[in-house]
Amino acid sequence: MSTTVQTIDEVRAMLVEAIAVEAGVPADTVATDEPFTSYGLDSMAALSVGMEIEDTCGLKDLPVDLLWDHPTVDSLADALWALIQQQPVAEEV
Amino acid sequence: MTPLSTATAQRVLPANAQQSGLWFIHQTDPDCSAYHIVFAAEATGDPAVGGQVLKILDELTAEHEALRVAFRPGADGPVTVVGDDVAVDVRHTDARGTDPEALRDLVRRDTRAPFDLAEPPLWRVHLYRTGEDTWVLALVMHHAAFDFWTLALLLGAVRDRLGGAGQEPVRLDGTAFAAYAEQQQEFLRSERAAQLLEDERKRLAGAPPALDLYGDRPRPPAPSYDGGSAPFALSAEVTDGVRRLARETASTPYMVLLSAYLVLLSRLSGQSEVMVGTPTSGRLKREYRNALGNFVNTVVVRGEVDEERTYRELLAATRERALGALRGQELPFPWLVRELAPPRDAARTPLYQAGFAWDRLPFLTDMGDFFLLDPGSGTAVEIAGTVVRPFPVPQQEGQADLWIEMGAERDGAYGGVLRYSTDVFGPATARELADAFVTTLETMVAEPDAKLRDLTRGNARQRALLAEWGTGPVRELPDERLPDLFRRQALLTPDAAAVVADGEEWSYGRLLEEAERVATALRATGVAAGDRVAVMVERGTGLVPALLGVLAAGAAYVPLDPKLPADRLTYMAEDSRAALLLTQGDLRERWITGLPVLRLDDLAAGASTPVERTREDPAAVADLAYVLYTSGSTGRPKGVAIPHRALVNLLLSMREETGFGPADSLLAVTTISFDIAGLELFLPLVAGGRVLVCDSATAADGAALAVRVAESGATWMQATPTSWRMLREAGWKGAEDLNILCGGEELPQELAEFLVYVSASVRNVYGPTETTIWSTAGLVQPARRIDIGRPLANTGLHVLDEQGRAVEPGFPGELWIGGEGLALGYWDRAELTGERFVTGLPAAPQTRLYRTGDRARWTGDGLLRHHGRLDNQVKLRGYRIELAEVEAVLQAVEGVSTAVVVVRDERLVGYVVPDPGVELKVSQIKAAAAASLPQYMVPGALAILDELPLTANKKVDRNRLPPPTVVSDAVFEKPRDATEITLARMWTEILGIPEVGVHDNFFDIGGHSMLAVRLTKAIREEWDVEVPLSELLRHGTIAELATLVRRGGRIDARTPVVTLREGEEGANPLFLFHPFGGTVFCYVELTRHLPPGRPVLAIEAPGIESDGEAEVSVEGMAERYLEYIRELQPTGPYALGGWCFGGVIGYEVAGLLQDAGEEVELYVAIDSRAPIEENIPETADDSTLLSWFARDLAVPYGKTLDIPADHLRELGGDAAFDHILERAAAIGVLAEDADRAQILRYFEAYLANGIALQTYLPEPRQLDLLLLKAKDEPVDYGPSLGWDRLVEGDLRVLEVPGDHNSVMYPPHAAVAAEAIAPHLGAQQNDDQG
Repeated sequence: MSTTVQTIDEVRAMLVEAIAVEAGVPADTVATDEPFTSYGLDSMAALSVGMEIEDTCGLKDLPVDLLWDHPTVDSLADALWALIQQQPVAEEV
Repeated sequence: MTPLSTATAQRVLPANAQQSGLWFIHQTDPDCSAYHIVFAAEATGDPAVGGQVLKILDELTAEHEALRVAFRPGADGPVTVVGDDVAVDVRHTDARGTDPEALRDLVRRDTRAPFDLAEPPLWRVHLYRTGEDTWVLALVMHHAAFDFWTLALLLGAVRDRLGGAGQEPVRLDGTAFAAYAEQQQEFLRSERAAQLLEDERKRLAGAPPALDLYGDRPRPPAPSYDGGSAPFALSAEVTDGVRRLARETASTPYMVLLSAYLVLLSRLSGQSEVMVGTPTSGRLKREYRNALGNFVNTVVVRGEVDEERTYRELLAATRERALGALRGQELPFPWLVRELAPPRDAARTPLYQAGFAWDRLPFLTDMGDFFLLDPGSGTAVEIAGTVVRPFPVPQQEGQADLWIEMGAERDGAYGGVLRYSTDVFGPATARELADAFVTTLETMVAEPDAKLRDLTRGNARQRALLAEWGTGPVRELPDERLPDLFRRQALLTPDAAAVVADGEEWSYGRLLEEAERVATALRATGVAAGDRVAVMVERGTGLVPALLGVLAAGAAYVPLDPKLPADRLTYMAEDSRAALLLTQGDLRERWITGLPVLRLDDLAAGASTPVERTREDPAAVADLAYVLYTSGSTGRPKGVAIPHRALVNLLLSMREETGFGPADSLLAVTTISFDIAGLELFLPLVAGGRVLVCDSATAADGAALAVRVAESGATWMQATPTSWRMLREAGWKGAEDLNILCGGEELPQELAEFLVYVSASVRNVYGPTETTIWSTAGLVQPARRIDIGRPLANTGLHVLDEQGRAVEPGFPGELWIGGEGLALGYWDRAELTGERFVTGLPAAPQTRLYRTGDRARWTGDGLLRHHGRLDNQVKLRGYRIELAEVEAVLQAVEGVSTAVVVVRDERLVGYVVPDPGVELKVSQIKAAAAASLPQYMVPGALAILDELPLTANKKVDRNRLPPPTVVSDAVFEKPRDATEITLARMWTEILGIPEVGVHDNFFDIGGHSMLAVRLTKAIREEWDVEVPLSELLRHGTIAELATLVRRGGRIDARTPVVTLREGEEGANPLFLFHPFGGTVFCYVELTRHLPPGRPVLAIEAPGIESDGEAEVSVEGMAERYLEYIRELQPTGPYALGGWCFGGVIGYEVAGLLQDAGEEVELYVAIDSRAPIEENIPETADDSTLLSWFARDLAVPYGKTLDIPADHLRELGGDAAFDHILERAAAIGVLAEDADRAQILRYFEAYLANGIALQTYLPEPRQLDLLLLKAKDEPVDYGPSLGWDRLVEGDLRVLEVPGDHNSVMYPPHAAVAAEAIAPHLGAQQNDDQG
């Protein structure tokens, strides 16, 4: 697994950047506890963010519903960090 | 283009499941263009750029395999083949001078030219030179090979190479598609796929089988994949609202829009649950982002709409449901359909019939609105100095009944297109549906927290349209009643003829005089205003003055038809509290007890007893003209109280509608107990014309009535469709001066067409008794679908939903009627009146409306369509069925006069009356029905009747239809001939199920597209008959396929060997010889229970189904049959035998093999009687054999058909044979259309066998025999049936249950098979010793 991220903070920063690009807003306006949908992101944007995640975190075969099950930067970062460390992901309800 | 078949090099790769699905659709309809993805643009600039583009496309094609693919049938569906040297398909057109509209049509047409999926490339370019420096380019790609994303990638790549983009260069991947297909195959075998499938199965369990949209057109049995497009646009405000709502609910704009679509579909279908297909990109993995190919996969959202909920609540539910659907997006849709095997209806796409696509691309963002049908006028991009503008071309139409595609934006607002199947909708209705979608969305976004049921429907334009269509002409009504109008006319033309009846003609003056005499006499007896007078008078001159007299006296009449049953008449007189009975002669007065009687023939005598008046609510009787009784669907008849104003409104309005004048005469044929008689008797009298009163005997006799119509010279006649049909059946050829009013029942299209051609005019009239005779009238025009017509004067029509809101044009609702025609209410039934006559509905708060119980729908063209009674709609196996629709189809069958369809015991039963002198066959009607109706709408049972029971009003009386006598198809379940047996064997093998019935539909019992491909292949190999997949979809049963096969090819060149089971390669077969009669159906059951592995082949008598002449000696048979056997299995050891006579043939064949030095591994005889002198029956003449033949016909079906030989002898020859056919069909052992010649061949074989058996007396032989003896056979032929006299080897007798016949049929055949099994096992089970 080749990943360029070293810490969960880096994961979070990568996500904030990706969301900001997709939503067309400055990165510093992205709140990490807001649902992605607050930024008008749709499934196509999710696909792009997903690709960004694959590239940056070196993860493959992400679950199709990852972004829906972990709908904020914070929760998604947790989930990805867990994946990166090859630990089971706790499902958010 | 390089044809693949001759290409030097090509690679064969797997196709993915989505591609297979589209390939299959293409196989069923090779002209289908519904899956063409089109990009078109107009370019202005240097013409050299065009050449550059083509060069780039050439390069890209050479570089990327994906652009060179085509498909070829493989073992289980298509495989992808990659052409080596494929040139770009460019088609040039010089369109300089072509006007823009014509060019648009041309481009649309060209982009729809079908692809041959077997020949690459599966994409092409059309170039139209439109000027010196302008041209139009259209890129067309077939969706089986490519998707929208691919198209955009390709455009991006071209742009890059032209050097105009300034964007990140696109690196195309032209090989990933093959890896994808492989990975998919692997994935679908995985644990995870199995888990997902299980989840999908649960999620989709119990889903509605179809989205039943009420359409403009009757749905064809198979989709045509033709369609149209209706573009729409949201405002910027609504777009913002959608985005806001998405944010607030943590959902996406897609989900907000999808929710609105669900509401639209739910209202359009009347279903709360709706299934919507929605495509996903399928490019979940990083490596497919830049891949060329088709990766799109459709998921099915199971939506549910509850009008009691708010939009926000609906959205929350839709969000969960959409996510639920997306979780399964890795399962390809065609694969899912196959695995879930939902009930299939060939007329519709499986699982969903409506789709919603949200198409957005993460690139090519500056060309987003190029994909809108009405892009912004200023949209343009510059590429390499060339200005490129959108050139919108409608595309991908007809994939589903309805489809909404959104995602593109124009000036920050969402735009979209509603695509519709032209099988279901016309363009005007589709336009309204698109508008309704926009308005519904707008309304809901504006008030997301209001219950859906409380929101208004439709926009201002639509409401104005509905008001325009639904409002009849406004006419001031005179303040006069019918007797006043009549008097005025009578004073104007006292000498003109008014009434003609019984050869008598009364002038207006005379009629007025008579009416006034009646009025005076009534008054004299004490009858006063508001009283009800029961009128029971024969149809004749006296009838009209009687009715007019009652009205002139200020009373109201209660019409009593003397033909009605006594207790019904008594009930009406009593319920209306009639003050008096006005009658004539001694017309059945005896049973109306207690009522004073006044006789027309003796008015001067006065009433028989004093009139006692009842006290009534003055408001209830003030304006009362008549009380008319109609049968309620339950309980007793109810009186409808009609006021004078309503009657006058109807008469004056119809006078205007028809233009009835003094020169006109109307032949009145309707009983006065039906309210429409009022029109016949009074319309002429308010127009100065003549009423010709037809007596009831003539009116009920088609032939007599036809004569009367001709002789009377009437210019008008009104009747129900049933009556018109009766006339036609009686040979009436029409009358060119006759104008027709037809109403009271649904007017069938074919009858309408007949009437239109044989008369001066036809008007379809519609209206319940409660709104006074008729509420609408419409001129019927040839070759146009029947509609209800336009509202009469002072009449309002409202199509409302359950909440009382006016539904948008195109949507179904209940028809409510308001205006002057409304009844006062039901006589003495305040509660019922309150239910049916309602004021205060949201659509018309101030107006009193009558609820008709009829379902209706305005088409986008403003025609009001009737979609049956709300209570005449049935649901069977989840499908909504409109009985009238099925009836219309049955009626259209050649030779059918009338048809009625009802539901009995959970299935459709059709009753059909043939045209006079026509012999109808049930199977023929059924076949015709199946040709134009979806499977689930074809009646399971059909009965042919001489006539239908009618109500007194000449409508069909559904309650008195007899139980059907020809009912069950289940009787024909088993294969009935060699073709069916072979087909059944193929099915069981392909479907992997133990047994199939000949009427099971392939797709109902687990068949799917890929298995269908295998089936057609098997059929081709067996008979060299090509059965197209499209035919298989429509004729999906063994019985139907057998017919196709028999029609289609070399079936008669078949050898007499029938493969009952194929068995394993290399295993020696078991040969079974036909029994007495020559056919081999009897072995089907036995074969099912024999151990697997060994092929089972049956030999039938040559000549009955296959080539060759019948043999009349056992020796001859044995010799011939041995040839067949040797051909299939040249050397021993042999296993053979048979039941009955088959065992005897086996003896001779076994002997021949023995003589030839071959080993006979098994010789088995199943309850065969040894061919010895003692066993030969004494008297076996033709009649005896025919009697046996009949008995044996019935045996396989577990039925008894005992026809004494003596009886047959009396009938003799053909008559005896026909008698047998008839009796056999009656108990269901022969199909109604069984081929007589075929059955005759069976019998001839039977006879030949009889002769052979009687002359075969062989010598004993050193043979081993396994004899199965039917232990329940009552006739005793000794412990070994005489075989101990012939068999000198090992004779083993095993007793098995059953008698001689039943031993071969369930349940006993299984035991017989078990007894044989150990003797067949040796070959496979050597190791077991």
